[in-house]
Amino acid sequence: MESVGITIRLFGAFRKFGNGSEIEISVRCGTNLKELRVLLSQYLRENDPKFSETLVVDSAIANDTKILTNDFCIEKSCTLAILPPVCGG
Amino acid sequence: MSSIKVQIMDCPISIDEICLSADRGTFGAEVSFLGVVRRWNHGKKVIAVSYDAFQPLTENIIEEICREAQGKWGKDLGITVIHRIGRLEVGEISVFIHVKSVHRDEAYQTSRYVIEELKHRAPIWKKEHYEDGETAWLKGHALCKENHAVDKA
Repeated sequence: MESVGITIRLFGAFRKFGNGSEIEISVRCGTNLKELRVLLSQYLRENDPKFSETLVVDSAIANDTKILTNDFCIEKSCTLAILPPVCGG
Repeated sequence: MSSIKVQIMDCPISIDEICLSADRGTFGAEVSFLGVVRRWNHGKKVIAVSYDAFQPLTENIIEEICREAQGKWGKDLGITVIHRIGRLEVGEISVFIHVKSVHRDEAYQTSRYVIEELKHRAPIWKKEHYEDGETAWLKGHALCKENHAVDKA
């Protein structure tokens, strides 16, 4: 199965990972966002054994224009963002 | 004439500039809301707050909130929303909402609607810096309820 590289932009509590701005991971073509959450949790736990996957479960995944649903499939290289619970104002 | 202006900025908000440029005479009411960094939160002394935002999506979502407000209280509402990012010291303005309307009731209701929806829906985060040197990202509202439904099913 063909793999694609994706960039995931980091915000809020996720900024302690990677370079503080984004991480890059490889996924198989056709991976949906529910599967991506599992991969992302594994990646983050490898970098921080204390990482709680609850944060990933509580987070939304979005592109530049909208929040994506779990059935969204990654078919090609792209940039996504993981958005932890928000608290602006 | 209706208008929506949304801006995410990393420098201090100039309220006078916005209020003084308002189109006086067309609207009978103007309501301003200021969100300000406060010194105490849950018993901890705060010295500063760092705001983080996913800028393009934040602007889209706040514009959507403003359009919803116009749908509820009048297409002729003028709404300006400015939110800061970066590090803010105690007392600095983090968010500014300025609503212009023909009558005051729509202005008050719109202002309240915009700030409440912004706090629940805009991808903005804040990290508090405490006097003792510690920091903490504040807990907030999940943007995606779908995950809970799936995982708890």
